[in-house]
Amino acid sequence: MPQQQQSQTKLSLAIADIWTGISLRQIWTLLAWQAIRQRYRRSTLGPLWMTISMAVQMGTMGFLVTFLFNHSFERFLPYLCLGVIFWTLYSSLLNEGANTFLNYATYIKAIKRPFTLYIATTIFKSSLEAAHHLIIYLIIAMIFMVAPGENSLWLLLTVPLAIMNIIWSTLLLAIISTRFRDVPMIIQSVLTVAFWLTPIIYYPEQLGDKRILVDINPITHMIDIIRLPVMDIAPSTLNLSVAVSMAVLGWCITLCVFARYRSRITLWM
Amino acid sequence: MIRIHMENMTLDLPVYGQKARSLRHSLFKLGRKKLSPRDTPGSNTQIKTGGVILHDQDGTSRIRAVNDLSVTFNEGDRVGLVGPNGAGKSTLLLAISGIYEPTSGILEVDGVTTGLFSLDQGMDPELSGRDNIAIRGRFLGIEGAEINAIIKNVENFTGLGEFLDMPIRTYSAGMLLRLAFAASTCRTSDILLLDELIGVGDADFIKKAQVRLESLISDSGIVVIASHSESIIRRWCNKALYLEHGVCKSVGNVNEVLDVYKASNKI
Repeated sequence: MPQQQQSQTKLSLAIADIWTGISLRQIWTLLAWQAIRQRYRRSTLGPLWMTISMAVQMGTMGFLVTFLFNHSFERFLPYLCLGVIFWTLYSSLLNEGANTFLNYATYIKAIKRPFTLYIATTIFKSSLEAAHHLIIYLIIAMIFMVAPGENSLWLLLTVPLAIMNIIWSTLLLAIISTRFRDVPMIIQSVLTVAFWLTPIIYYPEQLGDKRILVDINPITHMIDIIRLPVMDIAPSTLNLSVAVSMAVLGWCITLCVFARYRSRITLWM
Repeated sequence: MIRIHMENMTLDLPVYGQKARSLRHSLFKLGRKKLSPRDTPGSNTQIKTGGVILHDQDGTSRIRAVNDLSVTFNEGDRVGLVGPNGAGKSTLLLAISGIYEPTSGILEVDGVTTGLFSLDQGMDPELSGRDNIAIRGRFLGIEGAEINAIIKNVENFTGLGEFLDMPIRTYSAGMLLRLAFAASTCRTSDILLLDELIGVGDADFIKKAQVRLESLISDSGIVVIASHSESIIRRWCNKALYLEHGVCKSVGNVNEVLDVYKASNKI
């Protein structure tokens, strides 16, 4: 491929990387499948193990929290289930996203391909894992008869919005973590705290006037824009405006950082 | 038209210590006063090995691996890169393949490149040989039936048999070499970049590899080979480039360049 560094600006090179990276679907689907197959090669039930262990965890949590707070089980369990599934998705995206370029260093240093290709691999892999956890929700939804309704149409807007946010945050963290190797550890510690400030095992209303604690946490809104419509509840204006501003601001920052440092990422490895 | 064009191309490789690798440390350092720039070459200019080391004001170092290189290679050129260890030969190959981008200057590569650098690069040790070939194929833009043809081809060429279904971490160096060589040479491209032609491998493989390389080299528009072996350069190349500390010392006819190289290194 012709490399005309001089004639193209850094920004257009960064945008080209993102665009071609995403369009190389053949490669990122294969890499993600291989990674998943590899992880579960030695167990018969395969990825279902993870789902079963998550189901047990949810059952225990659900029972305990319902008892502690006197919730209605049939309302709380679907809420908890979606919260845990999407928390797991986002936290694995942030953790693995940060390590993306280091994980795929062997390919990056052997053949020139867009960096975004590896970001797409990580996102696709984590999404596939989250997808089979959704089986738990389907079962719970059937037991408690939680059906999607007209508010579920919000998903047509909020799912693409969530994906936009996932792409920029994974890309940005991957860039920073390749340069600064302590970032994945920092992310892990932050996530441990963030879990308690995300309404998963409690309702935000229970916090009363301290509700601001969960409202300033972006993950709260990232979970709510998906969780609420699935349960046939419209996401709040706050949920939507935070998610939209995150997407706009996040993409601006990420594009600047990526344009400025794209050519250096390989040198950092 | 297949072409490699460089104009005043410089490539610096940053070197980070433990502290410079830490975000926490770097953030704390922001508040402190910066020292005056000390962007001067290090003291290793007397030594032949390695690039010139530059020290930046913030305490990190950079190795100037390629320094102000201006050279153009055209279709039909078979270029031998010579020079001491760390002269910038491998870095130059990585730059031509697009993996490293120049720090300053111009590098234009017209044509699809294939690089044979180190053997384990581009391979996942946990995956089987077959899976690794499939991934490599996809990376090269090969689809469906053609991938199967390539796997068949690699199977015949390497003679690895059932080992192709085992994770490549179980392979010996020779087996890994067979696989990597076969997988990366299954397709010709416009520009072929070779770093240190295969050292390991048994006699049978070396014979097979040479036949394959021969056809590969004759099918490629431009070939660039980095090597310490004079016989390899003389056998395959019609041009040579002598690098030292990333600077071009001599370029052109193989005999002339090798003479300069030998004279300055008293071989």
